[in-house]
Amino acid sequence: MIKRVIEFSEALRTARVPVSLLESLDACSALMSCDISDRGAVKAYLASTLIKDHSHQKVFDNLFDVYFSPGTYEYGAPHDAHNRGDDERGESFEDLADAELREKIKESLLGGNDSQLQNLIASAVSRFAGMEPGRPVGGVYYAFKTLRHLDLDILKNSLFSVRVEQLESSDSLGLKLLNHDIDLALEKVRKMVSDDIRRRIVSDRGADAVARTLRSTLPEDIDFLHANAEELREISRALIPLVRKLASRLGHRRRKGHHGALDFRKTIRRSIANGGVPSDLIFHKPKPTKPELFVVADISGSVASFARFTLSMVYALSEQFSKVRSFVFIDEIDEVTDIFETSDEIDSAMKLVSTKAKVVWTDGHSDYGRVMESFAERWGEEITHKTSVIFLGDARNNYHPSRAHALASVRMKARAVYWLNPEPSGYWDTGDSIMTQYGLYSDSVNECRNLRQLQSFVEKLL
Amino acid sequence: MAMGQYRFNSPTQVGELLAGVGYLPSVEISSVLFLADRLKKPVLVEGPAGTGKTELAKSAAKALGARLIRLQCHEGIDESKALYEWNYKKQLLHIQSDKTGSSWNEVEADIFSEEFLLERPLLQAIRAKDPVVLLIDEVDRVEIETEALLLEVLSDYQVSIPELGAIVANQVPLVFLTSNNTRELSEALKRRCLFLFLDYPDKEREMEIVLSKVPGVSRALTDSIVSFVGSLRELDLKKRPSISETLDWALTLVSLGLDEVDESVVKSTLNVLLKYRSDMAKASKAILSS
Repeated sequence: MIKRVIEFSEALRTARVPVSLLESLDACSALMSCDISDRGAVKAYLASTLIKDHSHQKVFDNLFDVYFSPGTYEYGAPHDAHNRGDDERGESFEDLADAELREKIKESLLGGNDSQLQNLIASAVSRFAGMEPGRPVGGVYYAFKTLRHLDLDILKNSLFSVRVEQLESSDSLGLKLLNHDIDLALEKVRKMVSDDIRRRIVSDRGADAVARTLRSTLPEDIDFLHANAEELREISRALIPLVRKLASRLGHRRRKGHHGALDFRKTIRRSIANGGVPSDLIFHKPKPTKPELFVVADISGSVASFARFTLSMVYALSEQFSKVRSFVFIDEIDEVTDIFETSDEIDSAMKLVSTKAKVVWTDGHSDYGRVMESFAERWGEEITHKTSVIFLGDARNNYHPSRAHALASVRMKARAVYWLNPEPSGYWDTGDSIMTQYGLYSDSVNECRNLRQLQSFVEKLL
Repeated sequence: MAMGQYRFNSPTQVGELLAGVGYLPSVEISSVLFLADRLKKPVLVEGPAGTGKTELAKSAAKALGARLIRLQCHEGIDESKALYEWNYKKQLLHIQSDKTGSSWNEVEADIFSEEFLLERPLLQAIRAKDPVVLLIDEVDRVEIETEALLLEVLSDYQVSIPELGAIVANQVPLVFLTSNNTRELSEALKRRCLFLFLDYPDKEREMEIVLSKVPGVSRALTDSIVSFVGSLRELDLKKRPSISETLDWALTLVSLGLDEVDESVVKSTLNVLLKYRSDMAKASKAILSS
């Protein structure tokens, strides 16, 4: 069992969850000094000793199910008996017709009978998923097949029609709450299905193999460009605490920063009290420079989500800058500072930006060269030696001319020009990407594929 | 040190003890508390505001019949507020009143003795002879440098005072640290603690909490209260309603003599649950319209 824990910690480390040696030792001694027949308690023991940050919880949950799923791990006699019981009772559902199975699932959902539900789901999986041992496919496909056969929409409708009759008040709020309740129940069914499938796959292929195929990425490491809708939501959830921590760290550094030069006048004045001995040295208060920021973001389809996260991070940190102005472009550029300053939420701001800003000139494909020129022309005057300009984009110019001289003129005036590229650096200068041509006139070009890289850039910036 | 005996026999017993004083714990909570007792490690409790972090420590103290010693952290807290301080005035008086002409060595040994030591919460907790529970509240508010002060107490249960040497604990107290996660705590601190994340409770648990805390509330009303609050929490709000706000709302509805949740009720009492105007607007739009 110790071996299991060690393997499990190893898998967590592979997923970039920091687990120290001491922590895995703690986990071992926790399991040794406690009763481990209860899976829920075991999970709590391991979580409290190994995971010290809530954002790692999801990765932990996934891996825990793989390494300690009931099928592959002996919990002692009582649990085994329970497992066998599952199978035996599972048999009895085999001769039900599909519709009857669905009916039974509905009944156990209504009655809140979880253990029966579990058995029903198990037999549904054996019936519908068509799993073949040894096939190296992910569980997602099996889950999809099972759920399609179970047809949750029908289930939802029938649940709804039963529950709505029990409802006393039938105003729209009651219906809405009911709807919400049923959605939660169906979510439970979905989770049970995928848990069951995972258990089967693990006992077929072994935990380590499954852990490798399991995509368990921390939100900080999710690639902006390839994130699906669920992952995008995850990133935005992770963004808020991240920014809050970053802001408090920066604020702290600012307050605690090195003191300024000696204040000669005050030191002498203070020394009079000590008979002219300057025993207390007084220093000027530090005046930390607050950079002025111009953020110029490509919001064409391919990199829009990247621009969104970067802009929301910049605005959440706007106290750290003396001024933030933002510009968005596709093949025409427009200033959107007003929109971001007046709306308190980045999502609604982005919606406004896409409707109000004039960013399309001809065909709606990015044209960095044209944009660069028009940026230098219209706002070049306002760029001073205090201004840092940050370009966000993949520098894929759709084979238009680069007109990098415009960027050069911006750089002459600005304090610094940075470029953040959401593509992996290996892809730069392939196809229509002209990163190097712009890179020549930037102080630094940074690969910025995930929150971790974005965060480290912002920290360096200040 | 009174070693060898544990406070708890099983996680189930922890659950019963806490329930006995009106705190309904989840499986995780009672398991982690049980483990903290076995491994003699502090528990770091994190989670959104109003999910009962501080309450957990208080209830644990109550359930164990122990004294609660609380260190409320704030920016700028230091040794003299957290650990110990020498009673300078008393030391001065002692020196002045000492006219016998004793040598400096004698005086020094005199004035740096326990008589002149002022105990602050951390020292108090480890020197206590009666059972205590130590609560270090909002530990994320202290500066990173000050955090180091806690490490010796939390890992070795001792305090080193240069003039007196290390003071070792009479007993290993049950220690809770709470954090609102406004900044990343240091690795060293996290390593020494068991981590417990208190999220909003699931529906069943929240219903139990409401039923046990609000007298005269019916099961049906509780059900709709809890599902409504649950659906509010899914919205992207500035401040999501906490457990205590659920309780407040339930109390409000009961004392208004209402027995069901409908639109007009929600409209008139939403301000109990939500504390920002923009949140209220958003909630009304999402839940009441259509």
